[in-house]
Amino acid sequence: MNFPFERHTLPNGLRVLIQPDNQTPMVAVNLLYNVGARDEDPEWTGLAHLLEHLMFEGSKHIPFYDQPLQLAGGINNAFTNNDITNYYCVLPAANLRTALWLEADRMCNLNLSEEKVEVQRKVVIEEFRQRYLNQPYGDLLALTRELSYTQHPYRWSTIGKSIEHIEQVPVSVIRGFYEQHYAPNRCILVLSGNLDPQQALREVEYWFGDLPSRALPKKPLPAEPPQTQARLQQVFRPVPEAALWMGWPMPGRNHPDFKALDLFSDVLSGSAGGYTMDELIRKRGLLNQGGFYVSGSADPGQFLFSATLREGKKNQEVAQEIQAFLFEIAEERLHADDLHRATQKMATSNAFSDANVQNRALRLAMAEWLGGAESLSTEWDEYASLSVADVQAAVRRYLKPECSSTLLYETETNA
Amino acid sequence: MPNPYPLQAPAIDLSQAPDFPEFELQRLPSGQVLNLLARSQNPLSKLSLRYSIGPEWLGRPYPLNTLVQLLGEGTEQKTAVEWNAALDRCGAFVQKSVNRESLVFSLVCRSQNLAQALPLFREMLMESSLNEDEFDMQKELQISDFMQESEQVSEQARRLSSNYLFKGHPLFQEEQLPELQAMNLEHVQASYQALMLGQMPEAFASGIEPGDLAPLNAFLASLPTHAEQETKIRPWSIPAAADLHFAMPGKSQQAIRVAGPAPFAQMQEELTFRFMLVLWGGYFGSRLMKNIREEKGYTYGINASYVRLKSTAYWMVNTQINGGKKEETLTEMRREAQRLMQGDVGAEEIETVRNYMAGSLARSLDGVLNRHDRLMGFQGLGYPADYLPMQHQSLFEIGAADIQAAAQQWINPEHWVSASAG
Repeated sequence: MNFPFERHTLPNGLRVLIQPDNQTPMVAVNLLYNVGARDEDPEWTGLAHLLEHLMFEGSKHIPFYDQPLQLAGGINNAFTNNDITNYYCVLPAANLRTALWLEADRMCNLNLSEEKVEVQRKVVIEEFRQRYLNQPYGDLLALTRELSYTQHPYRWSTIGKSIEHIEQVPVSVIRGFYEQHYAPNRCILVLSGNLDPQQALREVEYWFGDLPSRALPKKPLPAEPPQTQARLQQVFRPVPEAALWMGWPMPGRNHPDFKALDLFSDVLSGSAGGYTMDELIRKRGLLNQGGFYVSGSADPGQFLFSATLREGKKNQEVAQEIQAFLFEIAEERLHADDLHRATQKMATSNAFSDANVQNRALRLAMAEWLGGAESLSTEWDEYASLSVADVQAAVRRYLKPECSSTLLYETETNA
Repeated sequence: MPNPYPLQAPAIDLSQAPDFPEFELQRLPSGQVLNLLARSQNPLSKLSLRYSIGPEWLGRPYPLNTLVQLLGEGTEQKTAVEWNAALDRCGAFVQKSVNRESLVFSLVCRSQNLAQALPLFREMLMESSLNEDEFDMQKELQISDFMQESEQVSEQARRLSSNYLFKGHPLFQEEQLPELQAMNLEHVQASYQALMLGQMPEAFASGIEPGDLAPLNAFLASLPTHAEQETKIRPWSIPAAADLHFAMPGKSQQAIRVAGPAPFAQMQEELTFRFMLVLWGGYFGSRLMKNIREEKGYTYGINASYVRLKSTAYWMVNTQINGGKKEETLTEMRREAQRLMQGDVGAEEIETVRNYMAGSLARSLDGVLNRHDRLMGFQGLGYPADYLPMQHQSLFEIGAADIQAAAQQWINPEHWVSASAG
């Protein structure tokens, strides 16, 4: 990242990153909260995401979140994943104060009324139906999580395990979750855009400085035990083509081996000239579409493969071929030029992400949350310094057949 | 002592119009015109070429979609893997798109690699091999995509709506499975010959260093110099109102798509229409979002949008709703349209929409890639160079009577084509 930034920590624990850019008319205000679906009780899943919806339903001093921001020329949105919940606003730089006013009030003074909770339950249930129940392959993600994880809370999706959890979670439980996880010392605030850093810091101190930090008795999450046996599940669904999903446990984002496997997935599937397109789709004719990627979670995650199959291909046979393919590429065909090409594309992708304030603020917040935003200026060099031997060693260590989980997602006509 | 928290929002300031960039026109000896935006702080360059789809190829989405997919999948000198590998070494991407009136190809890379990437881009544009094996694979993938999309309620509602509303008009021709299956390589090769080997594209470049102008100019001079004639397209005959349904048993939700024609000829009329559409359903604080999602919880989202082409335009509202709430949702959509037709809109709501749109305009100029796409889009629609500042100023002149008139003319529920699936 070519954009310098400042870091400050307020006495209440709020971490603030300020990144000025005088070439844009906008400013992005990004708040990353250290709470995601992994922090939920298994009896009440989907809670972090439901709460994300409720964060737009007004706070103690501001009955409607959206309207004042829109009046200031801004947009906003949010997302929740298994690790974090992230909120952002982008608005004309002169109106930065409006965004800080809104965000400070909902950080500690959310208005969680029964009426608003009831409406958002319905909205989230429709989201559940639209994305996961009413879509072909919509339940695939939930099935794969249950197959991959036995203990760790990554075993359920952000949307939750079932509609019943969203329908029935008491308002008191939602309120307790909010009070436990939303506080200045659980948040990273990033300001990126056309601003004066000193003035912006004064504004942040004014709006957030008096918010109380909260004691955070963080309970340790259950660790996923090492996988020693391959897992296999077969399901039949009314879909036009069979799909295959495979996963192998791999380290979390801050582990030294993460980058080698991440780079390997880019080599395999990050380009139309990669091995997946050339071998699995073009030459062997196994897949219609698909590829390898990493889950990229903070805690140990998964190296993943997901694809739909060409007509007539047998799912289990393709799964065996995929397992062999990984080692064939790593051991026999992987070349330094493959790594060079992948890192060249990565450099452009990073510049692409940094081309607008919203993405830049999010990248800074994520990097800070993972250990320090300074890593953005060194991470590409770390990828570029990886050797073929580094990648091979990681493949041998993590992508073993006995560590795999495989979901055969068959068409009902094959039942 | 904590600060007493202010109940009033901080003062807002939208008085300053953003700095509106403009492409600088450069005419090359070859006759090519290059629209150039200077370098920014971001180290990226973007070069876009836009090819008009002439009358012969309008309304034939199958060969054109396949052509676009096949470019880059092998050239006269390199296999698909070799060409893509060479592009990867430059850290470059090629973005490809087919819209209703044109094909657009964009090369994106770090500025330092532009000179190295340009010959590869030319190879893709002018020397693609379009061979039989790649064609067969692409055709199979397109059929696979078509089948997958057919399982989605939103896609079926879209197809139902388009097939009725546009009735085979060439600008809006939909892909149909039998025609996709009947497509052959000769169709694709003929479209390549006509549209790309025989036509000078419009060129737009951003983030270019002065030192990179020479290779860029040499690249452009190597492309064809024959300009495509303006295409005359028969007018779109707007059909009568209808309520259509596509049954998909077993689905837990229904998709609804309501659509109708929209203005395009006069800039002010178009802007007023867009203002009304945003207020009705085009942003998170819109009437439809507040009513149908935030008050009733029938849907995860509902959105009104607008497709603007050179010679025509239409609007649509899309949503996916709880399967039992179709009639209630349509009733609320009609009610909100009628309120606007009756002039039921207050000053505060107008101010919110105006400021939201002014902010969106400024946001669309954030970063070199946004500026590039925005300005290129305006130029494609034939807007004047000073369109952006004029639009910004015009936003502040729209009032309640303008919104009422636009609603009466364009979103009267008596004229809707409503399609649902599920």
